[in-house]
Amino acid sequence: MIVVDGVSKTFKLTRKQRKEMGRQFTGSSIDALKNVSFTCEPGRIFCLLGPNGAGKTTALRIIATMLRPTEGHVTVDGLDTRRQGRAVRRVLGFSTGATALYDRLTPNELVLYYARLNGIPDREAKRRRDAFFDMLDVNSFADRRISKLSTGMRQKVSITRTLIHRPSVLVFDEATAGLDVMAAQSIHNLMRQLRDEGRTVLFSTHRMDEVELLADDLAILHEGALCYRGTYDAFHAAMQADTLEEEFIRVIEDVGGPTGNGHAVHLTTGTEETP
Amino acid sequence: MRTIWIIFGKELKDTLRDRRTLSMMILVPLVLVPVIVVLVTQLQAQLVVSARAPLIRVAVVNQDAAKGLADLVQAQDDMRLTPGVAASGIPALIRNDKIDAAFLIHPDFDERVQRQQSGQIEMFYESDINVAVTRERLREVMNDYREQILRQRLADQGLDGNMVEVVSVEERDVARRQVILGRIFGGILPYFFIIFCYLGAMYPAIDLAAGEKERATMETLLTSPASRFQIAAGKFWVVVLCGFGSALVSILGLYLGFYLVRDMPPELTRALEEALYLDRVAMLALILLPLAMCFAGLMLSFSIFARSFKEAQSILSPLAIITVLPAVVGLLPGIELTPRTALFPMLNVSIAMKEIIAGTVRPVGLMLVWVSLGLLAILSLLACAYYFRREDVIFRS
Repeated sequence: MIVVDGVSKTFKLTRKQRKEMGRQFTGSSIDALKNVSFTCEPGRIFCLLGPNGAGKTTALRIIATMLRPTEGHVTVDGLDTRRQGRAVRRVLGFSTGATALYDRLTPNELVLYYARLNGIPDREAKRRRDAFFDMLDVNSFADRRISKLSTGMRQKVSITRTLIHRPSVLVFDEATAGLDVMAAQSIHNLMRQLRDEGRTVLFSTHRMDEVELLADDLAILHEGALCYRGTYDAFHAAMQADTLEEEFIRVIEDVGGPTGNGHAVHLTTGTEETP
Repeated sequence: MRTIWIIFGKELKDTLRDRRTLSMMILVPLVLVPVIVVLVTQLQAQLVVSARAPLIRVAVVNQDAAKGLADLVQAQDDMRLTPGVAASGIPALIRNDKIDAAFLIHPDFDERVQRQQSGQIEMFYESDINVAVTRERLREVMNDYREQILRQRLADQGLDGNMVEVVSVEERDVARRQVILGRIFGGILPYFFIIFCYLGAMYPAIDLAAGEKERATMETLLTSPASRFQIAAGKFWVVVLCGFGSALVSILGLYLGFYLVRDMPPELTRALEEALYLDRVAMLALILLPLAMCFAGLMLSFSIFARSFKEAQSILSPLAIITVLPAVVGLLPGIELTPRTALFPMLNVSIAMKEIIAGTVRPVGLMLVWVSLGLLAILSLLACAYYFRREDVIFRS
């Protein structure tokens, strides 16, 4: 379970960053998250929805102990992210859309590396790796350098890396970004499977089709603040607009308009982006 | 400790598979150092030979008027008597490089000498870059001839020829050979080691910090149970190993270079062999290890701060010059390993290496250098770990 309680995150800006923000911006810092609270339950898929720059990645990085909240607390399976960072990371699997893997290693070596970092004995790590590789059909390229693999192959390796230590909490940061339909579908299936196994699944996206497909619970984040928090069913039932996209726009406009700094909100349906 | 070891093992494997790092770490020192050694030793050997015996072609005009002078010139190993030169042709022959110098003996020379008077000889030479050497040696011949005549005069008077020698000076160079060697090679070799230590560490440092940030693999590593210190330490030791390894390979390159050099003057071969005695190489290695640690900490700190591989490269490349500059001071004459210089980073390394190669290093001085470098190495590791912990650095974009 993930409990995010009143979390705020402020980033100090460098002179260059202030310049990039434009003349209207006069502050020296930016609030990436403003008093955000939500809970992700085990056995459910929680979707963090928001346009680019809403603060989704910052929230996920705080949960994964990469960043410290300026205010508030986060617990993962009852473990405090500030004080028990290492223990949190032992129960957490984190995957990003960039499928960032070490190009000069082979899938075999990469997965074993992360297993060892998680304290799994080599024999057990190899047993788990072989099982994953059988399931995901990785064996045919398990000894090939990752730099030579296709995006889909890399995605399979990335999934194995994320799950090798059997985390009870899974965090996916725009995990399907840049993937083709087949690869994206395998990620969706994986999320469902993990949910069915009783694990906590949190994923961030800006794609409405993924929300419809996967979300049990939903939080909408806009300019660092939560605009909606509840079940997807409740959100859908209370929809005032005809489509999910229109409803999303209506919700974020209700809390201060789609733009705070002159940038258009981008939503997507399927793989096509519409401004 | 186990986690650091795991990260170290993976990063080392990753680094050794990078062609750019491998070439900078192994190929460049192994090829470049022998090439430089061959060129430098050949040049040095040439200089030794040319400084030892540049043959001077000398004409003695009217040699009948000064008995013995032509014989004296002929007897010199480094002079060749050129016959058949007329007085009027001397300047033109020297200018046209037919001869290097000439003695023009006045016709009444012998007669005046017989009368116990002063005979006159004109000495011709051309002012060029070797004028000091030529003139000095012509004067030596003339002094010998002068002394020969003087002794003859004294003997004619029944006096001892030695009475003209009021003071007898015998020059003896008491400098030990290893000191001379230290001066010659100690000034050059530390640069090889320092530069290759730096270059060998640079690419891994960039790749393992800025490169990993750029490739977004850092994020997944940060979500593993490894702490930031463990991540920094694992990477740190890989960079240390690469820098240290590269410096050692450059020493190997030196051996290879000396092996490849043919027709090296024997004294030069002996000198180089002594400079690379195993005990001295071992002492050099003990200096290079903390040096590589200092470099690793410094480079990783800058590298993790950089937004990209390119930015890290643009920071670390000029830093090489700034880092190596203090070592240049170690070349200046009179700079020795004192308690003060032993504490000055880089300067202490170059002086210590110079004295190790010369075989004149004192244990106290060496200890001070180790302590100073060791402290700096620990500080650099802590700085590196500090930067790895800072959110604004690790996610700087």
